Amino acid sequence: MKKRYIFLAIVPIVLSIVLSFLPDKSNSIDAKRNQKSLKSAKYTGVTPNNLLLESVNDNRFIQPDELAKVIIGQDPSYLLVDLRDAVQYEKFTLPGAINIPYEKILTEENQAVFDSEAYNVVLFSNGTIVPDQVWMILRRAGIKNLKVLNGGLNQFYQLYLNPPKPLETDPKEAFENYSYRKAVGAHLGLPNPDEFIPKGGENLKSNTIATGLKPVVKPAVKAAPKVVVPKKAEGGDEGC
Amino acid sequence: MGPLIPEILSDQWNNIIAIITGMAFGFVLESSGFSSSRKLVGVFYGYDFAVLRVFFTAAITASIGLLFMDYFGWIDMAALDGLPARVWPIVVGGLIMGMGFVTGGFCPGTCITAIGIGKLDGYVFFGGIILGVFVFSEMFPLFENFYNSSNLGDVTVPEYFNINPYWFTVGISIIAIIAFYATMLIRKRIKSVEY
Repeated sequence: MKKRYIFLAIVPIVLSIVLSFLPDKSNSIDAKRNQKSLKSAKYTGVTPNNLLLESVNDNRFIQPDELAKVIIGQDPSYLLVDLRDAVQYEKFTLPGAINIPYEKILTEENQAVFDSEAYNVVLFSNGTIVPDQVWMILRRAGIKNLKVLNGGLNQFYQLYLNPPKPLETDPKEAFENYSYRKAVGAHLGLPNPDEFIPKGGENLKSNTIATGLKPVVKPAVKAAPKVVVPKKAEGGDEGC
Repeated sequence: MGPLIPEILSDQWNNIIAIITGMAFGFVLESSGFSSSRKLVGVFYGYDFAVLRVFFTAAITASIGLLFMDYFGWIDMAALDGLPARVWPIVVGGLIMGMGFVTGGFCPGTCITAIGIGKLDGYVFFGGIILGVFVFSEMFPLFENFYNSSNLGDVTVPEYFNINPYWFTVGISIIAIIAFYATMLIRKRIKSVEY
């Protein structure tokens, strides 16, 4: 009986001493934890589960059309960050973009840029791989309001330099999009795709005319089945 | 209550866990004999120190357990909030509570346990609690200034004296063991009471 009491008395003392000698896990920036001087690390960034979820869905992307609206409207809540090196940045970049080469994203002065809650930071480079990597690194560091330009600069310029022409059967929105993209191209100082004729363009035009003759023959062949169709239609009317 | 194991249990589970914990608490109170006012007031007369032992054990078990769980990241101790430390109002309130305890033979939790096993004095004590709450609420404007005086805010002992909470727990555990031993000696000297 007495032995049990002694054992039970030793347990809490040993446990609390063990607790005191456990290694410090604190890399927390939480002021309240520091005030309570607790050892355990409280990770303030995104949890692994959420990071995985965020990395498989498309919410982190900003579409080129959205970004174009931001650029034209000069929206002050967006901060464009060019992740390429200074040489490429000097050659051309998006209007209003600042240059932070991706080797330097974790330096202290740049941390202040990303840390600001006031901006939506849009990361871009030529493609999407580098901005995605930077997005992952910064997201792990607990930074919010990060966007990645979908398709990168290459696709951005491709879209406004040579917007895909809508088909005649496309809905009205497709035409509106097309003229919007042309307007954006004009705003960015890109040549108008309708007026722009590349070298050898005349040959291309004559080619299309030459090939255009062939379809004229084909309808003549198809004309015969057309007679059959009305008959079927009559039968269908009776059934009704 | 802070979120317990937030990755596994959602916030909605908190209330269910609280109910289960509460039932376990009531069960332990009853099984340690705390529904008997003779056993409860024994601590004041020196023939039974079960109250002191149970509550001291509960305090050190809970603090060591919480610190370990915080260390493993199962619970966020920084998210736990206590009542603000109002020094003098707590001293006065503690005295009133102690007098009620020694005359009534229950503390608020144990009177519910006594009701649970159908004791009449438990019902009477509970009626007294309700009456006391009513009187206090009605007369609150009279005490209000004193009630809010000497407020140190939401602060714990290690925070206030700026000591390491882990060594503080070691200290409390040692004090608890010494108290257990001392009460054992006192109990041996006092004539045992049949109850």
